[in-house]
Amino acid sequence: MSAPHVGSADATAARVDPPGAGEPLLAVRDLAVSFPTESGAIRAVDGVSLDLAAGELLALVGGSGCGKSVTALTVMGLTRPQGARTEGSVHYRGRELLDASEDELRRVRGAEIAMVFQDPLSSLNPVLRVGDQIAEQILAHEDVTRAQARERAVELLGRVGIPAAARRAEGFPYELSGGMRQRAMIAMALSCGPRLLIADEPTTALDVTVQAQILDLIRELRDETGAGVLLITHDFGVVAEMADRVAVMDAGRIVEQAPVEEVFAAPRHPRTRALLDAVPRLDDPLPARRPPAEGEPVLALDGLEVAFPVRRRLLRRDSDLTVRAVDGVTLAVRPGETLGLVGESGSGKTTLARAAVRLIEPTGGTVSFAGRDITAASRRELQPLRSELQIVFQDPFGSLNPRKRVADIVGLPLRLHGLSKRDSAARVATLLERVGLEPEHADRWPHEFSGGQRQRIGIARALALSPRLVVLDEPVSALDVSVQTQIVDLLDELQRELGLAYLFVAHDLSVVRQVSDRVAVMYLGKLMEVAPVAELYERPVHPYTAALLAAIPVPDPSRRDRRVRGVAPSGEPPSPTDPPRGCVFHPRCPRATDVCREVVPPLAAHSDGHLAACHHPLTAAS
Amino acid sequence: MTRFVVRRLAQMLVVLFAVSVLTFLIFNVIPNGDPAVRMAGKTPTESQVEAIRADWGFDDSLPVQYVTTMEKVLGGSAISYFSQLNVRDQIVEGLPRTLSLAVGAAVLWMLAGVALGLLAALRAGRLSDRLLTVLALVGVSLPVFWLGALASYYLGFKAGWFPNGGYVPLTEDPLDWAHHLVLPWTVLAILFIGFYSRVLRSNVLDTMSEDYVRTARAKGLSERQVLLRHVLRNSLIPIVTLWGLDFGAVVAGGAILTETVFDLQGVGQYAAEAVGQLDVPPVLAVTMFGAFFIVVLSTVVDIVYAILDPRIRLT
Repeated sequence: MSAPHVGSADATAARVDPPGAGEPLLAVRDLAVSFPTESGAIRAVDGVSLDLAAGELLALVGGSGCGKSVTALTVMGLTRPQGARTEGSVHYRGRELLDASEDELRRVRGAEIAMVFQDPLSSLNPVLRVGDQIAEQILAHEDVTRAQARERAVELLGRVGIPAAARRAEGFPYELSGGMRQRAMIAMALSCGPRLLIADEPTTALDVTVQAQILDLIRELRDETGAGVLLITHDFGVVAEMADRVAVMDAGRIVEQAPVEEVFAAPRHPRTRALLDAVPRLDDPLPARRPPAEGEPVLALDGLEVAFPVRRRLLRRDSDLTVRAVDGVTLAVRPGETLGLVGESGSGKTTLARAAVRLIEPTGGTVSFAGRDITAASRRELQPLRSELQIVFQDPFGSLNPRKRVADIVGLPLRLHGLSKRDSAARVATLLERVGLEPEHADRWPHEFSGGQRQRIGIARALALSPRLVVLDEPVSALDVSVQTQIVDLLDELQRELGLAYLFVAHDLSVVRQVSDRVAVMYLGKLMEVAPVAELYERPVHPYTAALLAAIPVPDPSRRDRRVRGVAPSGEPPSPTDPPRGCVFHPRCPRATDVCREVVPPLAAHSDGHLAACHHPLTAAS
Repeated sequence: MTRFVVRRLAQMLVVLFAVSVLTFLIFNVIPNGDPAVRMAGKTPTESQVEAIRADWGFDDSLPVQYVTTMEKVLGGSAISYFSQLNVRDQIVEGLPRTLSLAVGAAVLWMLAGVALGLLAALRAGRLSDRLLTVLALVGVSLPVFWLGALASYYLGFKAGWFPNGGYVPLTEDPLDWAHHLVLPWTVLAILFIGFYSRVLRSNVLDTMSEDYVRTARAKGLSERQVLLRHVLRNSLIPIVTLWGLDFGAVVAGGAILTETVFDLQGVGQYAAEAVGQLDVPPVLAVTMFGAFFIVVLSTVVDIVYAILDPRIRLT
């Protein structure tokens, strides 16, 4: 298993170290990592050199597949089980880790170098108690009793801001919210007082308000412990918020490495510039859009409700519960317009999107399509409408049948609506060209395409029957920023040419701002605010909208300290099975008063087309 | 939990009723199944047959016959048409034998299956893995009656290492009990070992690529701890279900071949003989017992599963 090791670290270290700096905590020199596969070795990292000092926060940035995660994993020797072959050197406090024995590495892992991963749910063992998983790490490195280790675990959970830590330590990972799980992962990483913390996309799986809290926590801990932090991310907003220095990676190499202000002010490498340009910013000028559409709405939801029954738990006698995923939402999408629908996870936005096309049955209210009530329409009655009402799903990997060719995926709706095989083939070719693919692609299988290309296939399928409304459920959230831009541009172009109306569902407020004419904000199944896009982003009326906007990391390091802290809501959204009384946002709202705790605020007009449900709306004066 | 058990019990009643009706009906539509004719001997007169019919109630309507038979089966007073022996006594007699066989074999196949499956997963793609794959295939393909006969002939009769079939109660002489059962245990287990080792191997390989295994390594756990606490534990959970159900099937008479080859006189063998003679009361009784046992065991398995994996909810 030992990796071949070439090159002298000491000779190169002297050359690259900045003058005056002592021995860095971590010095990576000419690191190359390749993985053997059936069709030859794949070189994932190709000559990476970087230094990290104690107390420093270095951001390693790049698109997916650029080798940033492999670099981090290799530092800890975690690519060894995959049979990685490595060259170069990884020096940690004067020790070479690349060819260290498994036993030596084991003593460094968790004790001196700790890692926080992207998805805290899959990174924690689902069947072991949270506290035990932390205690396990302490026991692996320190001579303490099991009871002492458990006690430390509870302490650590408290320290990373988990309330009722003793009780949480007894719980299982699935019982924690996403943010709490990531806090638990961080508690685990801190458990043995590491000098180096590697955080691999630690907030990518989290909601924006929770992301802000986790980033604050990492920064606090860095200041407190003086540990060096290697932060891996694709998000330049996070970089600007957090980093002292930035290393930009592309195709296995570091193309630029500089202090954070320099990278943002004067990016030198074209790849850095391209990555920065692709980041949607809230202070970008709004794209010019057509005047608001007139006429009867294509889609109208009136008091829409969707409730799901909740199953009872073993050994616990709960009464019959329901989750009101969508709770009385009234919205309309006009012909040719894009209505953006934003909300954090659990806000009900995806349920609403699916109920709007009757993939989920509403339990209350009405859905009207082109003026016709389709809430209770039978399958047979819906069939002709299906051609005008299409949906594109979030996951371009999961939503295309891997055993069907592209021609069949895109052509199925055509065949279902009675086109002949030949006509459908011709139409598929046109559609593929329309979404920027080649007609020849029709004969290929989904796995032969990249994520962005797959999403194009999904869009082609949705367009096959010339719909009037396309519901886009997080269409770009699984894609890299540069690919996101391409897809957003494509959607925009299609809308202009075909006069489509979009219901664009997303959690990313910056993307929604780019594409929407109007934006609706949901929280815990309720509609909080609806307004024209410029109005919503410049003069949000609902404190929740304001909080969401404040939580977005601004891709500008010079504004880091000017960001208003404390506006981002504390805590996390409560469980939808047990929503708060009154205004659902009141437990996290800085403006909440007694009336908010008792009375549900109605959706009221604040200016033309600007509605919000709040007892204490933010006005221009406040 | 209480609701879950109550619901399962209610389902069990439905299952038992359906099983009993089906079994009863099947034996009534089988050609040459008229028990009176078969009981009356080789050249019966019509009046003898009529007498037996009246005596045993075979001239009643089917529903009436079903009810009276079931009353006897459930009350423990059912009597075999042919041996005239009490069915319950016969099952009680055979049960320890079948249980001895099932428990020993189940422990053996679980341990060996897990050990071999883990070994194959750790050596995935190498020669030893391929060898184990072939072995597992051979094990699954060997017919029990053939393997059993071979073992019994060479290791029992010729070499004299093991007794030639038969059963000695555990309470009488534990050593002799085990001595009699070594061959049946092994022969029955071999089939399952092949199967279990394959399932475990693929579970282990799946689990090894889980994120939490990477986390376990990143914590600095030794490879042994990673393997035992994180990989093996999670890979075993689905196997437990399989194990419970297979064990149930063996106890419920599923090891007919093994029992017959080694002449253990267990429940399976009893049922097989009764089926051969179209002897309805023992068949009904064994089927009911088997169905009952399997439903109970699958309930237990579900509860154990929910304890092992806290994400599972019982409904």
